[in-house]
Amino acid sequence: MIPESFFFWVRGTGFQIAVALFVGGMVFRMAALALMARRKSLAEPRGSEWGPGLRMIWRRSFVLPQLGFRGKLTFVSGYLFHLGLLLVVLFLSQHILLLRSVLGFGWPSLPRGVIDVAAVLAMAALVVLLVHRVTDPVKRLLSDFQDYLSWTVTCLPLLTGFLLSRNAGFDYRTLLTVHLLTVELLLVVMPFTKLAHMFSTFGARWYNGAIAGLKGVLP
Amino acid sequence: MSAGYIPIRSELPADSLSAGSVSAVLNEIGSRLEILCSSGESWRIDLRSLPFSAQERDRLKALLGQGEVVAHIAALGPSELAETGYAGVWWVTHRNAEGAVVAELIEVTRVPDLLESPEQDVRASLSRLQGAIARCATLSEELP
Amino acid sequence: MIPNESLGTLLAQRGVSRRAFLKFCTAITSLLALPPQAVHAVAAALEKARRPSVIWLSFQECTGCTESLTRSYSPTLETLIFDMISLDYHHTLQAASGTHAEKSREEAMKASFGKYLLVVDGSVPLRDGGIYSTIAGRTNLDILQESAKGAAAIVSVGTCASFGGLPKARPNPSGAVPVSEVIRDKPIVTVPGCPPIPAVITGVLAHYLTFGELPALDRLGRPVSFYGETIHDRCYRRPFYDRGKFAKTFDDEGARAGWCLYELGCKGPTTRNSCATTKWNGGIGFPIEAGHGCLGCSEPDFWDAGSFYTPLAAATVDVTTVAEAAAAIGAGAAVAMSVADEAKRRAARKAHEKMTVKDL
Repeated sequence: MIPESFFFWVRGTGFQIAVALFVGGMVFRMAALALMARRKSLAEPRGSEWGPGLRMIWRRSFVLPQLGFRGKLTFVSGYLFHLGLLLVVLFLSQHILLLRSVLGFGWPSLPRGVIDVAAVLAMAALVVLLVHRVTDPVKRLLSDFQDYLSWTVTCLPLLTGFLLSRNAGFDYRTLLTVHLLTVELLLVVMPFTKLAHMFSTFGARWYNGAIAGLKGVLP
Repeated sequence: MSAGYIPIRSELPADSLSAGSVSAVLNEIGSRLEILCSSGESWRIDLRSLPFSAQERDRLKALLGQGEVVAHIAALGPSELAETGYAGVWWVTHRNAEGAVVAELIEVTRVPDLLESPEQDVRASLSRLQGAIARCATLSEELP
Repeated sequence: MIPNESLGTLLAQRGVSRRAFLKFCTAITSLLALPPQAVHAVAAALEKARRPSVIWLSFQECTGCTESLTRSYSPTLETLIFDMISLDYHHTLQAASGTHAEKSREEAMKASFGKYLLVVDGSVPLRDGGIYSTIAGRTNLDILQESAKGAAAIVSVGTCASFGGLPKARPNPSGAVPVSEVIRDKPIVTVPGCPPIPAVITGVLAHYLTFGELPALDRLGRPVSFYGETIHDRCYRRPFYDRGKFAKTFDDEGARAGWCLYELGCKGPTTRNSCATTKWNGGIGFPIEAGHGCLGCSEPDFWDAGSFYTPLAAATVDVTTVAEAAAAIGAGAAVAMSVADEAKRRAARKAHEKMTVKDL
């Protein structure tokens, strides 16, 4: 069993440190991206940037028809994982309690059964994606340490949270401590790895679309 | 006073009664009853040691039903020893002087041993009774 | 009463019948979570047991623990167990006072040196030489160290003696510590709770009487038979938790239907105690049955673990301010970096443009 004082630390100071690093790091990285010094384009624009930018955000969400089986697998698993994670993180009643205590407002939760299904699907999708990453020669070659790190720190909170909700294996305090620790680890790691895409992804798509739009190469 | 005075009603969903633990106890009672038949060995089950909710306990009690014998003992508070609808299976409730339950058991036996007069008490009562007989005899001798 | 008499003789003298004694043993067996077949073994052991001498020290406490024990309606099985010990010193309950009281403690210590049980309720202040709590002009620390020398074992009754309790809560002005931080060379049983359940206090005594040794203890010195499970494990509202049905306020429809109190700050999942099974006030109920969440009063530092009404899932500290400050720092750093970047580029461009015809 885990000593009580450590449990208090994880719920208190540890959580503060993790949130500070997450918020500070994320704001820094996003602001740095937005403010990044770019050379002024002197060419005359051949189209607008807003329309193509927004269209790109939309278009990049549906690339299914062009893909082969493995690509489709990645696509479907990716969607399942992100959707499941979103549901679990934002709509489990315990998570809303936490967010309410930080944000000052809350929203209705989803029933436990729905959350359970979402969590299982998200974890299954993560496993499929990992297997694919390891077995596909190209993907394996492209993967570096950061990819496996991201996978691990994302999967751990899901797994420990699932165990916690089932009260499986250990007592509630131990499971809650471990779950909070893995969440704090994720929060700390997120801004400084490619997991920062949780905020940058749509901005990056918009930028790609907007550039193409200015050049007039996008329908 | 009992918990019934507190105006909170607990409405457990009907399917939350895990039939599992009730049937597990029923199975244990069954196998112990079999042993009682074959070798005469009796057995006790402490209901407090089971991870039972109040509803599950009530359900078990209802399933076992009410038999022909109900015995009451007044010793350090009331105790009730009731044979259930199944002969040889007794539902035993011990209360303290305040009426609070201090132990609740299921006894698989022909007669719960608490009903038998204890040897020491029988011996003590014999000597008391002999004294009473002697006093009675002297009393009748003195009478004309 | 003569401490050397066996319990069997004592009870017979008091007119307790054999049947009553067996019933008592049945209750003890159930209380100690022993297999019910052991009733006769317990009876045999209790009959032969000698009344142990008990010295009860009260330090930084509120007497709630003693109240818990003595306010149980008499005559109960609890008080019967209490009759089975020779309580030689307890400054709230004893008739003697002043010098006589202190003398009775010293005599009892001398008479059964190495054999008596030392019960302590309340924490021990250490700051400034321990002057914040004294008895007969001596500090608690001094009396505890002296009394512990000849003790067979120590029972820390209540959260204060077990873990420091309220006196140790921040900012802990008297430097309060639990008994276990003062005495390290004796077996210590902790019976935490604010107050502890009377049956648990007596259960520990009954176990010691029956077996002549302390019960099995967990990492924090708590008897496993009473603190082995959490309130949540045995809570009658557990099915609602498992289904995600929570009362949102103390008077909504969910609260009236007896739904789980997790969102109202119940600490049941992290609290080990037997309130849900042993219950309070002669078995009437326990806090959750009365519609209020568990405070976790038998856990270390429960007073400093955030509000009683903060759900276990929520943060116990101010995270919002931290997040705002971090956001400001992050944004500031990004702006500073971009300004510096821009300046560098400008400088580079300038340096580049400086090439003139002369250079060529």
